[in-house]
Amino acid sequence: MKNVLKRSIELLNLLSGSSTISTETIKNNISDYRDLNDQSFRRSFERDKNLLRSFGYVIDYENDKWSFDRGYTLSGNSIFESIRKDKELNIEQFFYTYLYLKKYLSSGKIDNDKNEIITKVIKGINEKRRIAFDYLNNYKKVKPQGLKYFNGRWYLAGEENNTIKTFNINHIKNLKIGNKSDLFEIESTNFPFSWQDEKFSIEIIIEINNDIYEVNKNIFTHNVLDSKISENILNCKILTNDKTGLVKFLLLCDTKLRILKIKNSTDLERLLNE
Amino acid sequence: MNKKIDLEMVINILSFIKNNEKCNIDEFVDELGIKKKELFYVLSIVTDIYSQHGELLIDYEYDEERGEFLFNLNSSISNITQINDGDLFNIFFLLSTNTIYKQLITENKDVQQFYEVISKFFNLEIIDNNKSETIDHLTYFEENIISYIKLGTTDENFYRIQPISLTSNSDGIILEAVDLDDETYKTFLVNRIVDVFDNIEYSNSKKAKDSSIDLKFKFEDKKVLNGINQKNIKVDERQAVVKFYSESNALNFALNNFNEIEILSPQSITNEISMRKAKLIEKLKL
Repeated sequence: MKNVLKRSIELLNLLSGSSTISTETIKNNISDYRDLNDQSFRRSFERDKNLLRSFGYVIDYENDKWSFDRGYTLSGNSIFESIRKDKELNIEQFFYTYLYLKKYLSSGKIDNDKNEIITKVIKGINEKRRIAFDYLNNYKKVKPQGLKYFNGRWYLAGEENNTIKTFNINHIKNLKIGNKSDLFEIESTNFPFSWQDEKFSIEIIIEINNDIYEVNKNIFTHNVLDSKISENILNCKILTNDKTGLVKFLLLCDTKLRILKIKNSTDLERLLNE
Repeated sequence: MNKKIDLEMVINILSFIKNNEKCNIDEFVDELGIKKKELFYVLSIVTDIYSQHGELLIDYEYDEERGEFLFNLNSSISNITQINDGDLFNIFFLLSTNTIYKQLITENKDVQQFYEVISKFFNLEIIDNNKSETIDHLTYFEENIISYIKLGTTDENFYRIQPISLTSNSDGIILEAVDLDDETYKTFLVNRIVDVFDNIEYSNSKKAKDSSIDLKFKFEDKKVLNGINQKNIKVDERQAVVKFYSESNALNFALNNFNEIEILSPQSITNEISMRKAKLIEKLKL
């Protein structure tokens, strides 16, 4: 572990000071890599890159066909880099406040893919660069506008074909940031979901322990109407189009839930019998 | 309990040194919330790193009598980024959503300035309809008793914990805490904490010990494996074996993917899912 931490710091130090670094420069400047053959170097470098990635530092290979500079760059550090250029800010005090807050708020490194996507989206928003990604078997190119947190999930709000759309971060894969900055303006901080104006196909009235509802409600997208709570029992009407999510919710709540009325249960039964 | 020595700790120590070339060891460990032996271990790593020009990145002298460090820094250390974007994003999100920290912003000038500075970089719309008042009653670094509904279950369990910190991941906001009965670090999903008690007759006897379980299943789309720690997965063609922390965690995974996977073992989970499906089909026949 000692050597891994040492190499990670060496890599950060090397890449933080330069815009683009070639593979040869990396190999020659990190003592542990220097004597390795190409295959062992690649393996070790990939492992170290993954460790840095898990802590929010992303090393990418830049291969811009219009540029002469090809090689590795470090990203995931653009915000602090901007902050420390502010001459009016006491950066030492800023860092002490960060350490103070870190005693209570630790950084989540459990889901590397999501952290990396959010980091890249933030860079795209701040530098107003277009981003491209795979989304549920489609390739998307959008102008990122902001992030939306709803029901425990993160969504990217982006402009596609002059329309603001929301994309669930969990379904975004292979996200790349465009080369050109300052491509668009960002005006809004409110990003409506497209499903907010939809007509709902399922209407269900349930009676459920309120605590069980609270801990499981984020499993499916729904609207609640006519809710009443008495002695911690919630009685409410739910409208939804998220049939799979509703079945998961009903299965998870099991005996703590009673269905009082339901319209259109055929699709739910079909899902259960598949 | 010792803190885990990781890259974040090493970078925070480097950043602290950068801002304090001369400092007292007690102040050092207090600011970073670490132990002296952890500090010396990290120093043994960073004092073995050379700059591009072959000079030591950091060297130091330690006056044992006074407990004082004098650091000699290479200029290239200023390149190392102290705080990454993901970390700032996480802090901004938690400060924006938790009422205790919202209060901190209004009461502490430094936190207020910190929040204002980082706000400019995040265009977020946060609609948090989870009830957060329960965790507002938690007191950090002190004993608390919470009632908690574990993943995959519908029953409340009581825990005697010492909260350490909050973090967020794809499951939501997470409380990291020491379970004072087991003396282990545990994570609790904040939206599954039902209540926090000041004074309750607490008994540890009812809490069943969790044991890990291997869930074997067939799948069509490998996206079902997203979000599971890669260390715990063994995949062979379209068949996977995943080690879960407990049977209820495995059941929660199986129920959340009921239409994506076919459970092969253990039989107890196959039976539970079949039973719940059959009960639900009956309930739907109104």
